[in-house]
Amino acid sequence: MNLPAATDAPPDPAVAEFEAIYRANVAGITAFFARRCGEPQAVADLTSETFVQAIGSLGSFDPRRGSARAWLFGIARHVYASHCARAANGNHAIAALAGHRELEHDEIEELASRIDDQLAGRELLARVSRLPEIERVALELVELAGLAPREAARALDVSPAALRVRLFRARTRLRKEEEPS
Amino acid sequence: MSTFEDRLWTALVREHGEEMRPQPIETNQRSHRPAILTGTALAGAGLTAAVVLAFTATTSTPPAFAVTDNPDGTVTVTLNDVSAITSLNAELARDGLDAKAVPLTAGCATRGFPHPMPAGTNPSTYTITIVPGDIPSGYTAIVAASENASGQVSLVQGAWPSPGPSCINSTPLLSPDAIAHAKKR
Repeated sequence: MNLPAATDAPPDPAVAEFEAIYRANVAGITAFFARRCGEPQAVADLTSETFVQAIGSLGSFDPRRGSARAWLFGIARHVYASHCARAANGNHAIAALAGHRELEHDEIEELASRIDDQLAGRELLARVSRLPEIERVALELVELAGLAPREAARALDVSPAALRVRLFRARTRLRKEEEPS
Repeated sequence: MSTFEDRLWTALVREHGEEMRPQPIETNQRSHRPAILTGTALAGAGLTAAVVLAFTATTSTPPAFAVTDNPDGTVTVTLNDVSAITSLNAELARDGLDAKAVPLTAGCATRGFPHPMPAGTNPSTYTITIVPGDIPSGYTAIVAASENASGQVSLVQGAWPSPGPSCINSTPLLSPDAIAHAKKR
């Protein structure tokens, strides 16, 4: 990949502002997709798509209504749902993504390692696969992604009270499944 | 920052950098992006709890109140100024929690808690932790606040049938002698 030539121009404040959001959250968003996809190219493209959509909706982001992290995870969830719907319809899901970019060999290795790192997360998701989707993701965002319940509620577009109920149910069901019969 | 993350950022700037700049806004419309780094700073610092702080006149003074969602589902309430009870209650309502703060006053007709909630309670401090699972169905968690002559705030919590009282009497239900006697037994 050809990187743009370095210049002495001062950084654009708006770009620097979004870069701070990107740098603080890209690892978490990548891990979110690494728990769902075994292919580095898919993880990369879904991560890229999330940030492309975030840039497109930057004007509607209001930090008073929730953190950037909650906002990005909400976008990531929709990106993944759309990706699954396209795949279910037989479309070439990855190539259709606006954020598609062919990975270099070293990036493939790096993302393959990250996918391996999410083994425990994938196992947790498999254990709760029978739960409703919103309870599964609520548990994941709080237990694995480290979001506060209020942030997870924002990402899932439910009230904090509803999120607590979902979390409580998910944890209770998980405990019951772990108890010896 | 990893190779993948650096290259993705480079591609985003090259292909979408222009979209990162605020679009012109019409007159009388406020931008929604003035404090965008507030959330970023929290995320960058690795904070896992969402914290709402209400500061008094200057940022050098402690926050009047704070509501913190903890990862375990509990909610920590901090109150440094009893005059901020109304604002604190607005935040608790926004948080969707069946809880409200009320003042402990000498003239209040309501006394005691029908359902004490000792779990998570840390009385005689500015901070208290509410365990939502300890709030019985149909009840509201009440955080009662008092302030002594030196301005120190004490908090205690219990549950009342919803919507709960608007104040609680600060006079102990038992006399000091009765309390001392009970402690000896």
